[in-house]
Amino acid sequence: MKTTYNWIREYVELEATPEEVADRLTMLGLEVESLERVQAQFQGVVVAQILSVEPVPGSDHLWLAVVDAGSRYGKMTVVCGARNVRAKLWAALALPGAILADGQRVEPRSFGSVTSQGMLCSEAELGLTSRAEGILLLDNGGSLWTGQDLRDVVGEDWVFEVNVTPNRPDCLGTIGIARELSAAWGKELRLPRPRLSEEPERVEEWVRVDVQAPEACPRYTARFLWDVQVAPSPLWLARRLELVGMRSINNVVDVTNYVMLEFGQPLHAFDYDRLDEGTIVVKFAREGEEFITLDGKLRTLFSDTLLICDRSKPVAIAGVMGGENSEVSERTRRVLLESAYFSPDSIRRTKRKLTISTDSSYRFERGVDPEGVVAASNRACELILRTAGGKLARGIVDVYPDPIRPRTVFFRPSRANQVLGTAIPSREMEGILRRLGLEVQEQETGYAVTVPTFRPDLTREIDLIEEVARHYGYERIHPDPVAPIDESRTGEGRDQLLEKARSLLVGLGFFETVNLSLISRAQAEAFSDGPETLVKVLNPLGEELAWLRPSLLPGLLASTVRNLNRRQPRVFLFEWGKVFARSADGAYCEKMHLAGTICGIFAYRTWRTQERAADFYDLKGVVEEVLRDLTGRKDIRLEASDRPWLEEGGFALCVDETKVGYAGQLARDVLKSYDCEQAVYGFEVDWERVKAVAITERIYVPIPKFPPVQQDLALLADETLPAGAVEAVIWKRGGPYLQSVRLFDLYRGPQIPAGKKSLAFALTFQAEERTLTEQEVRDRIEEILRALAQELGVTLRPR
Amino acid sequence: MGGEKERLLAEVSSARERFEREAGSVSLVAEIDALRIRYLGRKGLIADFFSRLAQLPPQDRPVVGKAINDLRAYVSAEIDRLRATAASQARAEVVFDPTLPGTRWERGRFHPLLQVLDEIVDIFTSMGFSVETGPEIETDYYNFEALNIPPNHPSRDLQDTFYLEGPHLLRTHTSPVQIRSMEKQRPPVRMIAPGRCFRKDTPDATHSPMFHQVEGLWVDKGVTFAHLKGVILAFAQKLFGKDVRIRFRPSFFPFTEPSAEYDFSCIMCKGAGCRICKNTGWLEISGAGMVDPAVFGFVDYDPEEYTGYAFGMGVERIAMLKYQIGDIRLFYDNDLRFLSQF
Repeated sequence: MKTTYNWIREYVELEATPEEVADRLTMLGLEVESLERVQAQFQGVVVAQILSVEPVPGSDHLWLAVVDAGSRYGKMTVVCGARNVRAKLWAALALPGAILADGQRVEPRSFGSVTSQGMLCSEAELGLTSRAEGILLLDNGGSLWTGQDLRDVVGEDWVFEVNVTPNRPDCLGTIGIARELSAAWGKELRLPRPRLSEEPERVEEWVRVDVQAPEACPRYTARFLWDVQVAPSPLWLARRLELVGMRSINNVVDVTNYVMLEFGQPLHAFDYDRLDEGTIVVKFAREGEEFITLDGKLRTLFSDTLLICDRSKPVAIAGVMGGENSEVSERTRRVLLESAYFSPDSIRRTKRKLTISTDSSYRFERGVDPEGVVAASNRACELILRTAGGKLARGIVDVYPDPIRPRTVFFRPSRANQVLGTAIPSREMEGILRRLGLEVQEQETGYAVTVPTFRPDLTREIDLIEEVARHYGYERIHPDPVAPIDESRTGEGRDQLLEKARSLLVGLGFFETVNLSLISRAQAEAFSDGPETLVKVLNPLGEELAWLRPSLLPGLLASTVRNLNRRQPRVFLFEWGKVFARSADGAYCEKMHLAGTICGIFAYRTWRTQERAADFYDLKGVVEEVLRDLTGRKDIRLEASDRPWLEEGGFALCVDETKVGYAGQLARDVLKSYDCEQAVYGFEVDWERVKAVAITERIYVPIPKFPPVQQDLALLADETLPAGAVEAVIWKRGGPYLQSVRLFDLYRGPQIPAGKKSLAFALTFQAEERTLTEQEVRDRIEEILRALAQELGVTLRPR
Repeated sequence: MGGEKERLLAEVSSARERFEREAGSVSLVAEIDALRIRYLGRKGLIADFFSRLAQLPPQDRPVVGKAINDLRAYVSAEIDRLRATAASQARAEVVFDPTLPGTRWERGRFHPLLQVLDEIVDIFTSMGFSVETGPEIETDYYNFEALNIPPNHPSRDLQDTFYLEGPHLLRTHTSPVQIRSMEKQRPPVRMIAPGRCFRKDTPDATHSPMFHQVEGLWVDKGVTFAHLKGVILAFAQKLFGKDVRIRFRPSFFPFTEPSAEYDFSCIMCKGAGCRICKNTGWLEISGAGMVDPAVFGFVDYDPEEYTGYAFGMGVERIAMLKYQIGDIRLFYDNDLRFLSQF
């Protein structure tokens, strides 16, 4: 909602500057989003009266005007192309050397035999409005004199853009805003009191109104005017509308808009001669009925679209937009002026179904004042008579079968203080409510407050408490410190296991990321258990953000690729967050996941080490380390799996018998779809599963008192035999004192037979209660070697 | 008996052998010098041999003298050779250089947004608030209706919503967690709800279709608007320092009454006016208010018996202020050059 400082001042006396008004409105809950000073953008332009007009010799469109520019500048001759130049009219004269709004400088100029000394200006040339046709004609009610600086006539103003919350329809008119200021500063609110001169003929002689849908249209009024002259609006009207962002159309339409911005009551003017039988019928449309609104668009209506019709056809969509077929135009002589109260629900439905939002629907859906309908109509009639002339029929057709009564709300000052934590005296509260236009009656335990119909938001005691707080001033309510900070509780509110995972991964070189939960279909499908399990947003911002992620990996991969494209050589990322799916019965489900990816350099080349690229074993190591720590298990198993987004299906991560997630190299075709040419390795775990198996308590195991015995075994195995199988046999046969098995060398080469590989393990034996003998260890090694030979054909590597 | 001559010759000969051994095990210049002093010094072995030579009968002296002279010549030549070798080796010797770069330990960082979220959560935890969570796929009931936002109401226009099928949608705020928490327990309820939220906002420097919010709620007997101002003030000062002031402005939310927007005094200019606060001296943070009695109706709390306050805050907004980040999209881009700064 835009309005101006000078406009507000018409209803309330302001001692405050525009900046102070803006601050005050903001602190009253009417946030001023912008305050713009509007000044004259021209100089050297004065008021002048046109004395005579005659054609320029030899021209069919130029006029030679003699103008009186007052005693200081005298008479001047100017050449002018405008059609509305007439003798005796008052106009704006740019003197030689004047500067116009666009910066143009006015100089004497020759037109054949005649010289134009100055220039008669249009409103657009002066930057007052956008109207460029014809010169600006000044309405001299006796306040203008020749030679007067025009800047003193069209003075400066300040435009406020106020963010009006949806509960305050009354502030969608300047009067509502003025009322807030009058209450805040204890100044009188001066409402317009139109003086109407009505003709003896009664409105009913021309107009009949039949409301067939009273629940959607509780009140409908109509007034009738004839002999009106539809013409461009006077400067004050056009300029004020344009200052608040509305285009000037003609005097009649401009007046309806002006009154809407003044009272918050939308009005509609019909060309009476285009209404069949001068009849207004308010009723619902037929499903599928078509109608052309005044913006020229064909609209298909619904059975709950409220229409304004005449005897034979619809002429407007009630409260939303008029029709092309009954619009006021230059030819209009007779006007039917509608002022009505449509129910917010009905307008909201129509607005939503037809997807049209207008200044009118915006106000009706929030709720206009049903008791203010006639006042707005009267005000508009006054202004139409003043700007377009004509005659006004006596009376108003007012169909209001079931008047909406002001509500009475009981208000307890003690309750207000109790909710606010204040000690505001009752009298002060009473004064605030009264200044807001509420009627307050003292009763034994509080006040009976009658709320006028222009405040539909005040229905309960708590609403009145807010009014009191607003006008008492939120800034005067002192903060009550009740929660001293207890630093010892810091961190208590977080998932401790997750904190551990985050810290571990960060410590291990991973960057924590936040990726959008919304991704594209292709991204989602590549990481899903089938398209039917994916979750689609019905009204997405675009295809790229239309699906909820079924996995954290697509986001991590996209972030990886962006970093690679920015020439980052090492991209180690992780994320935790929700993933989404639909189950077979259509139910939505979401799960917490933790995932990470690695790509690029694992170790940089330094002055003493070689560069090494990250690979599967780096991923495996990190996953094992993190899962061991989180779950309190020694063994994390990787089992071959079937995830399509992992190369050869990847691996399931198993803790005991629970599959907690997957890991592996991301499939090449998936990487290709991201234009990623480097290998990326990733893991993803279901966080609830990890938590379910996690053993977070630790129990101390005594530190061995007796020395360990280490024994290295260099073995020769078939190339195809997995090292894990060898290790498994070692563990199985290693006996109770085998503490660790570590593969420390893998060799293939000329020293050993083709098709074989050498695996070197370091075995550690240790007993809790004594020092092991050499013989014991030798026996175990013998047994291991026998089993390896028998079960796997693995032998000691000959020296 | 003439034994002294033979003994001296034998000693000269064994001294030569010993020198050969010793010379083989020295390399440092200092060691070579010590060796030279022991053999060639004024009180050295060879000087000693010469003094003993003087006591031999004259006829024995030429033979023994020659042997001692030969030894001296040999030792001096060897010492010179050793010195030369040592000098050339000294040039190639490894000298410890502490200015070589230390080992590069690769480590990651916590995401700046989540660092701020952790900080916010910790502050409220330390003020006795519990942390509650709820689903990101919500229903219309929890996201709107139970928060006193009826269908078709204009206040729904305040938040553009992503819809799923049926009554489901992506939560537009974490306020539904309030309702879920109040449904589960009777007052007192003192909780915060951090998490992701979604609104149909086209991404630009200050908007993102996904963002993070922390919602707070305290319901009990005698909870007041003054308490709300107290908790926000304590939070502001803990987060941005003791000199931060707060400002509450009336506003409208369907689920609070009275409702407020709250601002912090600008952390850059301390309220004097700067680019960050658009010369107002204030930074808009978020909304708050007293829980609307209608909301209590949905969870069956008696609004005469209990009052409560609720507040929200955007984590991105606070993180952007804290780190002076001008574009919200940086949080979701995960550029390592960005992440590594925090």
